[in-house]
Amino acid sequence: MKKDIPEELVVEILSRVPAASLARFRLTSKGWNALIKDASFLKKHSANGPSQPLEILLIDGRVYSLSVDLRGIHDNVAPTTKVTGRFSLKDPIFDSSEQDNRLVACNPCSGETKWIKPRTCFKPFLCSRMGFFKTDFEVYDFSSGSWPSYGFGWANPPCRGRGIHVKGLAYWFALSINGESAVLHSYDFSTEWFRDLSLPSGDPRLYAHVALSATRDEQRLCLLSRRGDDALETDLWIATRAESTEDLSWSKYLSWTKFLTLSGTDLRYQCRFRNKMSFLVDQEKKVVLSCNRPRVSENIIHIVGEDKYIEVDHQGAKPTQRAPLPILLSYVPSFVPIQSSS
Amino acid sequence: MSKSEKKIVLKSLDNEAFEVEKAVALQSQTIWVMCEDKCVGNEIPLENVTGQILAKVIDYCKKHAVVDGDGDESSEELKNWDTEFTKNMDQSTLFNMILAANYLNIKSLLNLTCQAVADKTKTIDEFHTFLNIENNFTPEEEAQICQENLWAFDD
Repeated sequence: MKKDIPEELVVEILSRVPAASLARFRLTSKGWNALIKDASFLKKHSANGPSQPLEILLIDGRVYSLSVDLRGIHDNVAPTTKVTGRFSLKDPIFDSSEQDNRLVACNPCSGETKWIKPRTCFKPFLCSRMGFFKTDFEVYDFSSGSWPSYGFGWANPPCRGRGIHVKGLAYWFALSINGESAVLHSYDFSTEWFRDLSLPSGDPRLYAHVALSATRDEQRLCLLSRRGDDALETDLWIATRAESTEDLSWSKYLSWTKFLTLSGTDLRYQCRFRNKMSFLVDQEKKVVLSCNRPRVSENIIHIVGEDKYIEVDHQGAKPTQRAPLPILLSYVPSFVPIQSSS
Repeated sequence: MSKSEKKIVLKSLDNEAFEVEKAVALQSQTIWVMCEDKCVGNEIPLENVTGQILAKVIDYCKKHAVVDGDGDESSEELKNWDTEFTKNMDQSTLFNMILAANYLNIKSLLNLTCQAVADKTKTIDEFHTFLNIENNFTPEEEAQICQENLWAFDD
């Protein structure tokens, strides 16, 4: 006969399941549903739980989970991608806030959305779970619900595509005003430091087209770059953070390894690589998954490797005129409420 | 040296006796406190653990014991051993291992067994049987929660 398990042990077990399982286990019982929403439990879960990234797709202001199967890709088995479930958010979120000049922070797991009024009119570059930026980089503080007065002005404004958030740091590609050098702007959410990091090369001619993203499993920063429209090579670089973070020579903070060169790859892919393209890297299979700017509405994930180019239908919604560019992201699910995450 | 060579006897709920090195047994904070208090002799009765489970706990403690000159096991090997250790345990054994690790206060074993359950249990039904609890939602409430978490249910 089974004895009952004390609640503290239930908490120990539950704090170790992945977020997706946790969402399902809300159905176990009323008591568990309440426990899973409890703030101190959520804190324990973010410490003990596995941080397994999910692939998500943002289409027409809605967030969907995407399942990707690349198992046989190098053995002539066609890879598959499939939009599985939709995250239930109260409001659709759009990449551009031209309509009402507000920012939205959302946690797809909990369905929580929070609208934020910026101090001035702006064009946002990045939103993450923790803060927002604009050209002169202001940081929004969720706990006080305000924009503290400190900001940071970079002489070189970020350009060419979106910024990206990887493991507690935000990154943007930037060119110096005279166009002579290329750097990577970064903001560290834990130390609240802005700094410039080195790119694989400072030569701006290498980055006619550039996009930033992360690897699927380990969440390492990576960069796709192409010299120009007629260039036949696209390089994929993966960054490693240098060990000595005390080192004041900021430019040495990152070291880059060239991971893939997509040369002679299908011309269709080369033509589609644009600055705002979103992509993910599968390190094990050595392929790049991307969602490119479509000429016509389509629901396609592009998978490209050294010797292959495959277009796969993700069977989800098609992008619309209002939001023509779908965004493919890697996302570590968490139930931590937006307000307490600062 | 003489201390680590000393042996003690652990006696299970069903009166099975296990003679083990003290260094092995002292990984249990509960046993450690009992020995410190000198309230027991050489034989320690463990009223909440059956012999079948205690044998497994002792296997674990033997593997993890840090005895002088015996620390050549790499952490990688130890991790693999841990994985193998819980891999073939059924739900009921794991359940009792968690209770035993909690009662004996062996933190690393508690972590290991809780993680094993978390990894193995994928469906709600499995959790219901494992923890012996009943679903007390109405169908409407259930549908509501499913609706809010579509991303986690559609596989």
